[in-house]
Amino acid sequence: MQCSEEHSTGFLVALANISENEIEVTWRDVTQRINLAEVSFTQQLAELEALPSAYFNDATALLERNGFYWGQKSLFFSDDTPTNLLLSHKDSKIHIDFAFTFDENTLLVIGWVLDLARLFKRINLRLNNTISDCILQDAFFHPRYDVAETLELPIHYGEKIGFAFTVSLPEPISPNLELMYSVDGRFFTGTALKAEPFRREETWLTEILLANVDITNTAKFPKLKKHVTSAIEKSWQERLQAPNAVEVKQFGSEISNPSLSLIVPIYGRYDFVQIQMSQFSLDSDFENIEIVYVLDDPRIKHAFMVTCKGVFETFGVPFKVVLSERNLGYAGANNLGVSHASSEHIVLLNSDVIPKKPHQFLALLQQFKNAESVGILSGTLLYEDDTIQHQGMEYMQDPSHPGMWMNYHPQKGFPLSLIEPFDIKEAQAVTGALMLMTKQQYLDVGGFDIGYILGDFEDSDLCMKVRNMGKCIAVSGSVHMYHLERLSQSLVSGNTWKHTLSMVNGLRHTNKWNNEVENVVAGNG
Amino acid sequence: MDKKKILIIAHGHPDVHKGGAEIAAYQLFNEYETLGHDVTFLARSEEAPHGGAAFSVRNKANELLFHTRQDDDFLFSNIRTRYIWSELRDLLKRLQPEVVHFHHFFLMGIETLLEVRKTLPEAKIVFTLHEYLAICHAKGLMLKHDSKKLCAKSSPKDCHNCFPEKSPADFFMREMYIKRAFSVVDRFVSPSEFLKQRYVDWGIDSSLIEVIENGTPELDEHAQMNDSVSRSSTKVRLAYFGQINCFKGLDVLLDALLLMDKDTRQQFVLNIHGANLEYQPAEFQEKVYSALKRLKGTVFLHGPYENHELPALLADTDWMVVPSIWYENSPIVIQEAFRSNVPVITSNVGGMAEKVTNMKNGLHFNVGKPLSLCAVLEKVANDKNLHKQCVAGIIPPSKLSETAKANLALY
Repeated sequence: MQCSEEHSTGFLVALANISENEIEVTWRDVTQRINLAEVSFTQQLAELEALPSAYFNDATALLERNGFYWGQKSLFFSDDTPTNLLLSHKDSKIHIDFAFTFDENTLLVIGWVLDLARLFKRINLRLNNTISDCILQDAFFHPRYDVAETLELPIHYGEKIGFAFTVSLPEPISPNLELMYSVDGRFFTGTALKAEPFRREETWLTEILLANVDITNTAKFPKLKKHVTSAIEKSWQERLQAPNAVEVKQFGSEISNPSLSLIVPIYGRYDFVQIQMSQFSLDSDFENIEIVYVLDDPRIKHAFMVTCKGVFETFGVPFKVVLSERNLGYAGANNLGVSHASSEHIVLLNSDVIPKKPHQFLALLQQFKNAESVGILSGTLLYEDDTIQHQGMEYMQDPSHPGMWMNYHPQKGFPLSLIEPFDIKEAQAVTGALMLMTKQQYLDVGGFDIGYILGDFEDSDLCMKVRNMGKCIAVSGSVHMYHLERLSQSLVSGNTWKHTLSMVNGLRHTNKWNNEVENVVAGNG
Repeated sequence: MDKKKILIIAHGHPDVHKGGAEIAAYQLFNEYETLGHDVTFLARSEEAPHGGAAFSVRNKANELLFHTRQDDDFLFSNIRTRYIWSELRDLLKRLQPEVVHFHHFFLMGIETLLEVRKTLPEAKIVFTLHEYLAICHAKGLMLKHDSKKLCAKSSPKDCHNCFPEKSPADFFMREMYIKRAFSVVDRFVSPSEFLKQRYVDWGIDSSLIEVIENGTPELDEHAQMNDSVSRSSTKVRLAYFGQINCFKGLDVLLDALLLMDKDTRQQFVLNIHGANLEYQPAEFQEKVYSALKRLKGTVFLHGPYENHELPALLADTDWMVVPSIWYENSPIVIQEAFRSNVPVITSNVGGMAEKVTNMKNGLHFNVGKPLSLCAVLEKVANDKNLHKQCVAGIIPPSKLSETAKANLALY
């Protein structure tokens, strides 16, 4: 191939269908015979040392633009091609733990690079005949203390050696990958690697991706989004969008024309159903309130249904159970529940929220009906010692979580007696633990956004969507319920990654609503 | 007298487990039967039933065992098995008692109360509180979990401090759930003022709780006679009766004896009539056995006794010692001591301090303090009149017939 004059810095020879074993290549006054037995195109050519560096650089760029590189050899891919790799160069190591493809167009590679001598100048992937950005430059790096531990190295060796690297292409990505490393910046050693379609538990991936992420490092937010949160979203998207078989079971007789439908998602702990019902059964208003429990945790289906039967037989309050075939996350579970609500007005309720006394739900409904401009009405939520857990939320910038708007609960921990009594008042946002609104409005704004993986910030997102429709958000000062906060998530293993995921959701919320939040905070919202 | 249809529910049958509450419930049942009431005794049982049956018979057709077990030991809940809302419901419908008198919910499931109210809306539900399980997750002992210090009152935060794996909210829900079940009870009975007060502090309306002492069966003439002939020892004869465990304070008593100088100690003998030492934690067993070795010649470990042997054993006793480090409720052994005219040396707290009046029918020492008990024992050795004075102060305990009458009055 001869390059056109203005770009010409040398010659590239593309060899295909070679029948001879040896060819002769001449550059200026140097002539060399190249053995083609290894079917390589670039390595021997590079041995023509007289190539001027400017030419060489341009030739390299041209090669790489076309998916070739110096040192390239043919790789064979088969069913036995490994899906993980350990490459060593002297004492330096590159390890690929996993290579996953999502929805054909996205590839995620998870691994680590231990290179104390800084031998590796470049590490790239070759996929679909293109060469990726350099992993060392572009990937999201984070600690992998587990690696240091396994290799019996001092624990600080694990700092910054783990990486997540996500590549998205417009066309489907072939599972046949080549992991390439270079120690001189130009010549690569390539090894075949196979990507597998992602078929594992999304929580597993979420956990390993977020396990050691420092969510306070704002400088790394762009890379976090590009390589980590995009992959997490992709992994969940597939599940959330896949068809989901739903089973509905009614305990007791269905309530005709209920004045209110409560939607209560259940994940992990289900003994709350027992506690809630023990209290609902003391409240005659429940003759008119429909209860929809959404089991968002297929692992506990049997135990949950056994409990439901016992709860119904014991307390006698009718309720409906919607069983989701798959775990949909908090947002998805609420959306599913609302679709099974038969009343015009709905209450989104957490399973760990328990009214302080009877008649609280219909009192909340009455307040909502009396306040036309209100789109979402929540209540005063209390800890078990009658201190405030929630009386509306405010957006706040928190130095512990730079770069994102946090939902702050004003007067949290104040004894109820210190709060000036009020009927209802406007709030910047309210918690999803207790939200009353019309079903139609919920559907009009598209319900909770399922992009907030597992939960957090979808409530404030919903408030924003309702604000955008010209309605306001309010909280009742006279409706009191206990909120035994956070207990329902205690079954999720470890807290670190779950907290990080919350913050990832916070980041997503900030990216989506920053301007609107600024308006609300400025009092113009 | 008006004949009633009564169902007595207990968490165990005394033929199987001789706990104070089981015995009290069963004695009441027998007394009602004697009085001609149509009464059924239903006792929860751990024994294997016939092929998964919920019930079986013990002794006679109106003594039923209920084969079930709570599935949640924190909430005392039993709704995941069908036994309460299916089998028991059928039994209640068949029996149709006018009065259901609970002596416990433990192991059976607290929803038993709710089921009775649901199936028998008109029935009177009476519930004798025998201990503090509803208030305290630490086996109802009201002792701080680690320090074993006495605890006056439950609160979600304090309880969480004893059981860090449970959150304050968990304890809040536990209380809420138990109180929901208690809300169907018409009248509570407490065998002591002290226990009543704990439940009043916990939130039960004082007017709903009647204090009725557990009754004590009357001694037959033979036992009475025994009593009068055998008190002739030169030594001060102390006796310990009942379960041996780290809450019953036997170690406090042994320590008190160890603290004495040899000459004083030689004036005492201690007979231990107690069971289950072998099931206690190794550390506690070692402590007891090591003390027993050092107190050879003074202390004699006799093992368990049958109830009918008690009068004879008490006939050889000058002072009963009840050194529990927890509050107790109304220890049955105290009444049994009084029935045999034996004064009691006991810890100065809870049901013990209530049933024994210091210097009147017994003596108090500071709970859990061997030195205090040692001083009391020295006083006993030095002041021979003290025994006479305390024997004279004993008022015979309530008879079963009196207790039954008081309970019937609530129906």
